[in-house]
Amino acid sequence: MSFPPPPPDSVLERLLDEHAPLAPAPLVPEIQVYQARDLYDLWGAAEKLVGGVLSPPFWAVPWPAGVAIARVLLDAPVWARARRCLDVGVGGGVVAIAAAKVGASSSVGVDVDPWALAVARLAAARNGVSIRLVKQDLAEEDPDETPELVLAADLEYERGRAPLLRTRLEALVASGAVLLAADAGRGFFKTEGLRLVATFDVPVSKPVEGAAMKTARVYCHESNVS
Amino acid sequence: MRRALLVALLAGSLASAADLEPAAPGHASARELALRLHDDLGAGLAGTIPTVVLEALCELDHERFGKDPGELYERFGYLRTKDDPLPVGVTERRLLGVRLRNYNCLACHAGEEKGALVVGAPNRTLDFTGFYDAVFEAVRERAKDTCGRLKLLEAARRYHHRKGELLSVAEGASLLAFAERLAKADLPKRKGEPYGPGRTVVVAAYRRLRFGMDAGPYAPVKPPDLFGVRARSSLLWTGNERHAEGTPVAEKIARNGLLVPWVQVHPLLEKPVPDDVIVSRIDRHRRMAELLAEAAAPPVDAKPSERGRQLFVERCASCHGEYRQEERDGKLVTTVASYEEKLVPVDEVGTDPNYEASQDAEFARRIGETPIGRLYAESCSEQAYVARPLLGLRLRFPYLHNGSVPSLRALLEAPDKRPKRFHVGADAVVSRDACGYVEAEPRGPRSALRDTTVEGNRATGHDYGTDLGEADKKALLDYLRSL
Repeated sequence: MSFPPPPPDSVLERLLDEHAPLAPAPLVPEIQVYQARDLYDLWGAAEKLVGGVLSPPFWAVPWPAGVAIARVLLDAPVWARARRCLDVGVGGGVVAIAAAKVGASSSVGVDVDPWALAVARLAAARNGVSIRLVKQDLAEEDPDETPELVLAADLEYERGRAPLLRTRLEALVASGAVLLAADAGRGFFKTEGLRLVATFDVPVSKPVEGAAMKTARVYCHESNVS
Repeated sequence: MRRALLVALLAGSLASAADLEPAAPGHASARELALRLHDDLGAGLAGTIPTVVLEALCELDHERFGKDPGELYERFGYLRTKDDPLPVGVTERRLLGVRLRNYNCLACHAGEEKGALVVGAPNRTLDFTGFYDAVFEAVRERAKDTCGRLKLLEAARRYHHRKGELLSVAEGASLLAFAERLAKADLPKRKGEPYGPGRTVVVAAYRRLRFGMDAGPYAPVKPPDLFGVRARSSLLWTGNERHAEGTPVAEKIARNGLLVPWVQVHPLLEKPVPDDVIVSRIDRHRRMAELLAEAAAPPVDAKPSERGRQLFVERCASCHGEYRQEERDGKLVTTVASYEEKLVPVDEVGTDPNYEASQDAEFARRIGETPIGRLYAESCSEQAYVARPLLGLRLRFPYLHNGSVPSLRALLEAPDKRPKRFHVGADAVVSRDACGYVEAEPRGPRSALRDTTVEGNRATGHDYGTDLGEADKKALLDYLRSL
């Protein structure tokens, strides 16, 4: 599926300032990300801007599993420090930014949506860190650089893609990577092969999630537990 | 070149099958039919699906659901008349800017013959429960969480963008609300194999959703034809509903229409529609019922042999009545000469008992206690099936109440010689000579295999006429086909 590319940074920043201003993320106030005032208004405004249909602006929501992983990284930098980190489905960038903040040797965010890459890049700059962003679908192909820490949050919500993504994550673990995966109740997330690391209650947007609070659980792969 | 020709021929045959002439039933005017084709009968919100949901599914999965809702309906065997964007019996109303789809009696009670719509014939191609199961499941699997629901909304937006339109906020909201509700709903699990084209769920949904009873045995049933209703006293396959002497037939049809489960219960409703609301809809039902009461099988061209008629009188008439046939405008018109409704005990007729068994005494008692049931003189459990009038019999295959016998020719075979498995549906192969489906590979995907070794699907019983010689069977079949 191809979508209209994002506009130049100056135009995108105006859109974000109006509809999704930068603000401290829930649970990780140390990190600021773009957050939609109203997801549907933002979606409509972005589509109007480029005159085409866009994927939902997942990049303007600090998803509960993402901020939970970010919290784990900030509280226990040892997970990411001096490691090549890969954030699968970078969205608004909170996880990749957290990895960069705690001293990852590199922090790479991949996403299928070019808008997410653009927004995450802007957010990283505003947080004073540098992350590398790559348009890539890890359900379909390997990352272009072998990671040492793989970070995956709130990804498994589609029946068709969820098992493909999980297979890719397992393959990366098999090649030596550590996996931190988190979920806040997505439809097709499975806990097989995972060990619970931490649980957080995360304030979320009620119009988006249908609740004021979601429980996010962070897991590591059982083969990573010594 | 040859391939191109084949594709063109196939396309032509599909198009002609899909676009029916809207024939007028019996004495009813074409205008009256046009008014009823998409009449929602005042059914309210129960059973409705936002149109945008169907559009989103088409956008997400062209292969399964087609490119638009019209194709989606066609894939599940809904009929369509020429130049009508909505399939026969599908309704669409607009509420607060949201298009809502539902169905009416004609979805199941209008069939086709020779490219024309025939009101009163069962729609043998419609996979009614298959349609709802497929739509609900496809939405549910995508609606488990916010992200999945947003992808559904994205698909709807893409669909509208492709049509050069913008999806309205109200319709987008209706999609999200429907998806969330469906994801949380406790949908009943169906027993046994899918009902397949030409059959539907009636009693099981009623037992479970309305009365909180167990669903009862696997008991698929065909929508009964309406050609002979004027001769009957009750209307159901089982004769379990009794109407007061002199009740007009349209009134009986209207009452029974109120019983259709999704008029009043729906998996997405937290509780059934209140009884008084349901009964208040009977005026809308009466108008549809008057159209259905006029239903008549189209006349035929050929006159059957006298031998066929004689055999019918000897072998069939004591249960199924006698018929008058006269030529009018070069066509043979059949009417009922004499018929007295006969309830044949299940043990005697020997056909599959499950449908009758699903309407046990407790079920009859509970029906009788509802305001709808109180419109009847009596609601009972007769443990029998009605020997129905046979007008338009040729349009009613596959035969018996559960559609377990593919053709009239097969019905004249001893039960153990009848096909164990055969294909049904819009793409199943039909034989005029056999008067029904034949055992052959279907021509396309709109078909299902019916397995008559399964309880509820049994092709047992009704072995009348199976002892006749081949010539007599042919003569009898010719007569039956002419009714």
